[in-house]
Amino acid sequence: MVINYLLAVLAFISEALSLLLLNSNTGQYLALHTLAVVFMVLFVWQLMQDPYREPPVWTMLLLFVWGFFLPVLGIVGVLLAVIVVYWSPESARKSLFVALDTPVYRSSIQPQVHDFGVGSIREQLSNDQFSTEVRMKALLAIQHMPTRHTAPLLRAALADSADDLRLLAYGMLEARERELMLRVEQALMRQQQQQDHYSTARELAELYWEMVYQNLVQGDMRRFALEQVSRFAQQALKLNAADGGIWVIFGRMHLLNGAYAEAEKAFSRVIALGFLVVRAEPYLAELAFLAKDYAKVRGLMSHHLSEGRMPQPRQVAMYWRTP
Amino acid sequence: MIVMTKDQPADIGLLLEGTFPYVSGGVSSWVNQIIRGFPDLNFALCFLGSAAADYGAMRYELPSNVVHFEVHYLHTAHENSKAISRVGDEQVFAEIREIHERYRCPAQGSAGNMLRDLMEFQRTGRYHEQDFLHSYQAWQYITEQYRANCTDPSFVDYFWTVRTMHAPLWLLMQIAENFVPVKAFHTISTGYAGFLGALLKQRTGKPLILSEHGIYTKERKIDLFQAQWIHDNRSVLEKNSAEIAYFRHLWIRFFEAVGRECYHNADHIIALYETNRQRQITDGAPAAKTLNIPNGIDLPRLQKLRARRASVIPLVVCFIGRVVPIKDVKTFIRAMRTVVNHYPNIEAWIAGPEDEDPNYAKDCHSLALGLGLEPYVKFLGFQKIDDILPKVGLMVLSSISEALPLVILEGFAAGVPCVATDVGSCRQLIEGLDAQDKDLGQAGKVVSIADPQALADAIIQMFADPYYWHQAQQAGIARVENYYTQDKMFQRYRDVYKQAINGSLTTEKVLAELPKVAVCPYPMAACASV
Repeated sequence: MVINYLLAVLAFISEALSLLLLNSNTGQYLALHTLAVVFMVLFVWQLMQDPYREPPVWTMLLLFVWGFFLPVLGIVGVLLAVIVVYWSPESARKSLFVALDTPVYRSSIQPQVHDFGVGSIREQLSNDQFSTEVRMKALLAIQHMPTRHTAPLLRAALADSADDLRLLAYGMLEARERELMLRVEQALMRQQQQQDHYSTARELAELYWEMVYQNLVQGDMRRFALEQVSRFAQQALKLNAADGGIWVIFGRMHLLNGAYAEAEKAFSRVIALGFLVVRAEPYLAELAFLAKDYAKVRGLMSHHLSEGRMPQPRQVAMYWRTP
Repeated sequence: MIVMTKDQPADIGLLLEGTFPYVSGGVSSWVNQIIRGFPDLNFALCFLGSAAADYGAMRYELPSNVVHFEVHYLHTAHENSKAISRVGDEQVFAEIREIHERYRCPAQGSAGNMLRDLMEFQRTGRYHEQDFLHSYQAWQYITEQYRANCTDPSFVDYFWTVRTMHAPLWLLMQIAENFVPVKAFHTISTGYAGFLGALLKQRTGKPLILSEHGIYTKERKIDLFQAQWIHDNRSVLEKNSAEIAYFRHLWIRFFEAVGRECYHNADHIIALYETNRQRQITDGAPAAKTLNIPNGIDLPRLQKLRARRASVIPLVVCFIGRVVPIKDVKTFIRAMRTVVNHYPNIEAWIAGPEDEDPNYAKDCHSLALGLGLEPYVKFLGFQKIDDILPKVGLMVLSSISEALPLVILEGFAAGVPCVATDVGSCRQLIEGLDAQDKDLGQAGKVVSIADPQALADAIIQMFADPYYWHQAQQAGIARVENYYTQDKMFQRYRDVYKQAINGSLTTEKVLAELPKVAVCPYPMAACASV
């Protein structure tokens, strides 16, 4: 450290002496001035931190040029600047940005993806050849699919040979049923309190219908749910006969129950209320088919073909149109 | 918290998680049976529960040969001691890393003697809970593991999941440190109690016996698959529907590792029936240590009930058990809707306490009401089986999960056939296990779970043909008398206890010979993805 500052002192002295010789001997002046600049460069070099020393030759040259071509001012200025910076508190110099190591991409943490193609879930679930683990994954994969499609799969899994699969399938079915039952319970409570008769009855009809539609109830339970749909739909319709949505549920319920005349009446009513004809017609066509009135089916279907846009009904319509 | 302690040495340390004496049910009554069945042995009990608020008063009177009883709650909030940053012992954390590497690799399974080291570190103050919570080493390790393994984007969730997961372990170490001296330990499940057993075995060198009724790890797994409290922070693009959320997986792996630790430390691993024994082996239990000891019942007492039966078959179907979701009482009620259509005079009894899950019990009541079954379905609350079995024509067990249900055996002994779901060992009990057992005939019917229609059909068939019913009754009686008596069970447990108590010294030797550092047979990447 002392040597460092010795260099600075030497630089000052040499520069001061060189000034005395400025007017008498130009050659000696230049020699002394150059010496002073060299002392200055060496001093600064000691204090400078690594990153600033790169590239060394050019940095030194720059410092030298500075000192050499700005007599007195160059040396004094650079020395003062470096000393001030060196002794200033570290916090004032701290950089806001820190260099980090480049992040490493670890491919190992990407889970091994097991994709299920169309239809393969059903295949894997029912096939004992697959390990329980794979079948569990298949079951978990359908967790986010509509219950209407998955309920039969889940119910089949209830009879599976693997305990884990049975329990998981049970849990999944139960969770969905509980969700609906909870809403039914709340609606029933509201109904008991005589609050908002119409919308409560409407909600109950919809909820019970949802249970049937989602395939969550079977056998006597299904029959019971359909009875409830009928009861609450009638209540709602008594209060508002122009409720198209409830009429549709009412019609579809009758269709399931085999009360075809009632169903037909409900669907005609729906159309009269402004329900889209294309959406009501498939039900009417089904009714006509069940009544063995094939000419009527054909008529409804041809109409459907021109306006229907969904691919599946379109294919059915195509079939009926071919003579 | 020590509830009671007598000035007598204890022979067996029973480790009980969420069961006897605070919860009633199959496992609890089995524990009661065992303690009373060995009046010559003294028992020290350690009850582990979730939180004090979850349990009411004791459901069982403590038998007189219980000489020590302590209760601990795993999920009570810890004291909020002030966080003081600390460095953490590098050597301790290196060992913790090694333990985790082993747990990550199922084939490796156990931390072996390192658990003992860890407890030693704790005792000597080199590793305190504060070191886990607030040390630089812990932070380094957790952040490193997050970067290396976590597929969920949230570090905050990862950090707190790790903390929550490890919280009960310190309590367990503390319990293991202070437990009264016994000659052998007996845990009634894996899980936390099983892990405590492993710690005790490591600390004291005394033998550990594991009796598993259900399979703890499996049950936890099913819960965790559906738990709503576990977050998944992956975005739509990161998500793969076939891949379960990372934290879910983490919890599952935690319980798997804890279970394996118990299996590896246990000297005797006892299952109730063969399927569960196989399951234990799949989950990491060394096959040589496993054996089956089925439940048994007090035959002389229940035999007497047969004399009290009327000559005609009573048209009464009875469910005996706690009214809780796992018993799926709802399916039984739903099935009754169909049965009632066939037999308008039939009665369905639901005999069991309803206070464990009042909401579920309420649901059952409203379901019966909703289905118009009020006059037929009777909720009797808790009943003494001696009082009701003679009046019952058929037992029904609609559970979605069972082990080896005592009620079926008790029913058989009292001369009541059974219709049960195909869970646990129900098929074995009703249809028989080996050829000789099967020759005794069918003691009822087995149906698949959550299928009200099938259950109803089975019930209807049982009552339709009195000849068939009587055959089933005889088959049940013969089966229970041949295979499932209390005397047989006690005899086999007496052997296990004797071997454990006498073999205390030899196991210490075996423990010392365990390899300290074993090499994972799988390359790291393969283990990490497991």
